[in-house]
Amino acid sequence: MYRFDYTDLAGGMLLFLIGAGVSLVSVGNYPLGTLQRMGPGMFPVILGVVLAALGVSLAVQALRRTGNRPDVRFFSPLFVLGGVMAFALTIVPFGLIPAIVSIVVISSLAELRIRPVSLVLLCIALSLMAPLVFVVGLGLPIPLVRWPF
Amino acid sequence: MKKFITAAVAALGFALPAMAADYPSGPVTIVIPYSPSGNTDVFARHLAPYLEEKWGQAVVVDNKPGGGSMIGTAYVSQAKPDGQTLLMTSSAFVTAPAIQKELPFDSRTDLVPIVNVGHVSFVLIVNGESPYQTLEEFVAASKESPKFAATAGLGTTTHFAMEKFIVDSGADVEVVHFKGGGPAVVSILSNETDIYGSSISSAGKNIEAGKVRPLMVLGNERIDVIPDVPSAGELGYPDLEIKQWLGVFAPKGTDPEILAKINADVNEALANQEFIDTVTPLDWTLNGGTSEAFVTQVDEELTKWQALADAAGIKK
Amino acid sequence: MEFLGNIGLGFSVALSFTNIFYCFLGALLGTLVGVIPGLGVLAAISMLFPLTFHLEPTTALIMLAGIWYGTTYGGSTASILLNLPGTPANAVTCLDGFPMARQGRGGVALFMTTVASFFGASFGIILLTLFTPVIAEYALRFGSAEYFALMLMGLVAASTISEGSAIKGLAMMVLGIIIGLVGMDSQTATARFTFGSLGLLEGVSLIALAMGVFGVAEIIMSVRRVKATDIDPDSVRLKAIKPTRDDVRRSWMPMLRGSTMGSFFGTLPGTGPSIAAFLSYAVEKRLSKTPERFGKGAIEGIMAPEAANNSADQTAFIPTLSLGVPGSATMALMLGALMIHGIAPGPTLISDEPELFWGLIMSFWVGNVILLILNIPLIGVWVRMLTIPYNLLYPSVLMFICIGAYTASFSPLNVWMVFAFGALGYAMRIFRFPGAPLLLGFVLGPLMEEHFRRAMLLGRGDFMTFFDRPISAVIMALTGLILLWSVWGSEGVRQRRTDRASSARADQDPTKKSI
Repeated sequence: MYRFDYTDLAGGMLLFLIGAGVSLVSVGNYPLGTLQRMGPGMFPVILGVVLAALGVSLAVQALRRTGNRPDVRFFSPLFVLGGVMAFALTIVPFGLIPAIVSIVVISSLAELRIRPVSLVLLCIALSLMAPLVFVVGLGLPIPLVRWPF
Repeated sequence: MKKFITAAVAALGFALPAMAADYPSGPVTIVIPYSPSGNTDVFARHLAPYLEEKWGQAVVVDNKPGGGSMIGTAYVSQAKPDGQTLLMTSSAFVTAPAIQKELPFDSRTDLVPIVNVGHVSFVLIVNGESPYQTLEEFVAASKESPKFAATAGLGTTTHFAMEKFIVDSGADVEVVHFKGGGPAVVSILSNETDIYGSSISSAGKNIEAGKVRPLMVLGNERIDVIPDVPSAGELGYPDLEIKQWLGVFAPKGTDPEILAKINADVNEALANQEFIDTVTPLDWTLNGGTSEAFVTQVDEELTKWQALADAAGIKK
Repeated sequence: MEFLGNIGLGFSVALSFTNIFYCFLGALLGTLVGVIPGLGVLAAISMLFPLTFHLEPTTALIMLAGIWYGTTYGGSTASILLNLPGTPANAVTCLDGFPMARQGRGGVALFMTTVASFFGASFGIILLTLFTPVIAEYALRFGSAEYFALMLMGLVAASTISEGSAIKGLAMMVLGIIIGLVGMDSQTATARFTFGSLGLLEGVSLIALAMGVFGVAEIIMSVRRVKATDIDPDSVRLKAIKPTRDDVRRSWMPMLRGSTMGSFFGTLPGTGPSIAAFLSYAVEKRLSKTPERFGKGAIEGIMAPEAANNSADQTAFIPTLSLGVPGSATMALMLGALMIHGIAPGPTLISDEPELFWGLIMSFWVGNVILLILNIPLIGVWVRMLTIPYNLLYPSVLMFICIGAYTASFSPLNVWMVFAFGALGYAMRIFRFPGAPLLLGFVLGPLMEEHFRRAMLLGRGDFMTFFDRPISAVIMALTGLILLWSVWGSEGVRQRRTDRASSARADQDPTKKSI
């Protein structure tokens, strides 16, 4: 238990920063226009200010109450998002099957233990199933394996 | 070892430029910068089998939509100039650069026009229950109380058609952008806007049903499906010759012999009676012609629309 | 008599062997595409589009339509079982469907959403049969001012859609609208927040956003926490799909209201099933005497949105066929299928092509009956997914999400967006920000801006344009009433809620988070 609700305090400040950033970028880059013919900047500027204001009021409220420690984990997001990133990097140069293997292997690490047999079996099963569903079944034009060099 | 590398480089060097004689050496991809089912896409898909037969190679229609056709266009501008990747795009190719800043390619130099395959005509329409029977009446009424013109989106051919109409007629009309031709026609049906330069295919059924009234063809000749509607030339607007055309382009640096072959083969397909019978019901008028004529046309239109954008104060 | 003749004509077309076959094919494929998270209906239809060159136009349309409404049927499955929406229109079904599955009522939830889908679709088809020309006329009365008023009402009505702090809900809605601004501004062609990326000119992909914020974030939260052995083995038997009498009693009105709202939004071009589903959920929560049950497995919370999105799917054909105006990209594809065969949709379609029009509509009955028959036995198969060990399930789901996102435009950019929104979604879980308002803001925001700016232009810069036009004025007045109602009602509700919340906090289950 903390004296303040630090989670909401940080969340509120983050919202304030995003809102302020959106408004500043818009004022700097996009014309506001007039009421009759609004420019591309009008909506983002207003929305940014509203978001920043909501962030401030969230942060102020957070100072008035106690809070719990948020549950933040490091390895789960690292490996799950790492798997998605690996897929994005491999799908075009190497094709579907390498992309499947990389996302499955990397995201499996989020379990923080390696089960080699089931992992290999899963990779094989998905490498068979996904092409069958997407390439054969739905006829999507994705190369299965590609060698860019 | 050194010898081997020299030999390999030499072999590659000779293999690289595609020879016009054996063109096409593999499957040809025609990139369409629009979604499947748009009229550009439909046209390309009907044309592909004829080229396939002529070339003995697969002709793949590949949709790369987005950015008002600019994404697919940019893609082809960066493709290998071997004639295996071609672009089939609409007159957005010449109108969009007048509006959009920071395009990742130069529309005058990065793509080579090969052939203008056909065009769709536009007709100015008003609501079927509106009091305006002629364009003259509409222009006069607009000076009494200002009117609104719909467009199918900023930088589209219809947008420039409406701007050009406003400049040439002196009507007191302000443009309002919609997302595509469908919503623009609806805005006429619902009386939200007053006038719109629609393609015949979008307006066709509504003209037949009397829901919208055609006032003038944007061109110097009347159109067969609506023979009673006067042309722009007849009404004294000879410069309102605005059509949405469709053309084939290749990346710059493509062998001129290959370009000539593509031009000849596409022209041959356009003359095929069977092909004509398939696409004319879709409101296409087929053009064809030499690549020189098309190069000149693209060049002139780029200048013309840029000048109009500057004159009408359309900001980049 | 002419009416019965039309229906007879329609059935004679729809019940031909070829048409039943393609209808079945479309419905089956739609269900499959719907169940797989990330794979959208637009991608599936674009892929099958070339096939329509070789089919009769009516048959082609029957098949494409089958995919279209089949997807929404199938889409609730992943929402309920895995807390990740099969399609964006099913996102709101997660809110109560997933808690039901966690309570061992996954089978009931799947069965009841199938019933709701069928009910909603039937409601839509009946409207389509009886009133197409009338509805098309009335939809024409909606101009930009009316659309804006409607979107505003939607946002106000839905502001309490999720549990927890109202400020957080509002903030997420605003953030969603801001994310929706990314891309090329349709009124000035200015590229906003694209950071020079050509791909971002098209804007953020709805599928990537929904899959990242809901799907990937959910997986991150569940890894090493969910065990297959937690599931009661009895709950996955086929007989466990039987709803209780209480479930049935609670479902009638939400289904009816959901169908009505869905049908309404379906007829308005540009709105569609996602908005209908979100709003009907918001309405149920507001009307409920026990709003605190929502988000914890309330059956009303799955019945209303599933009825709404399916009825919207059906009525979306009204503007498409009778005005020639596609309400969405998917509908534009269907129009394309007609144009290829030289048929231009428009006001004269019904009289010019009666076989096509009535055949298509009657095929909707065939398709929906097929879906009903197809889906109920499949429930037993789907529910078994819950017994797959999570360490095998989550990499597979992640793979499907990525492939789905990739195939939406065949560009890795969408996969990167899944990555970015997965990170955002996880951050939102840490800060306890709800995901549903973000998605709603994203869907409604760009429409709101477009219509607001156009309405101001058409109204010559005068705000009164929203109050001078009768329909717009009525909607604005309703919006004001909803606002008053929530301010007036919130005092008492808040008191009740805090009492309950403080007692509930002690035994909070860490795996169960509202989205």
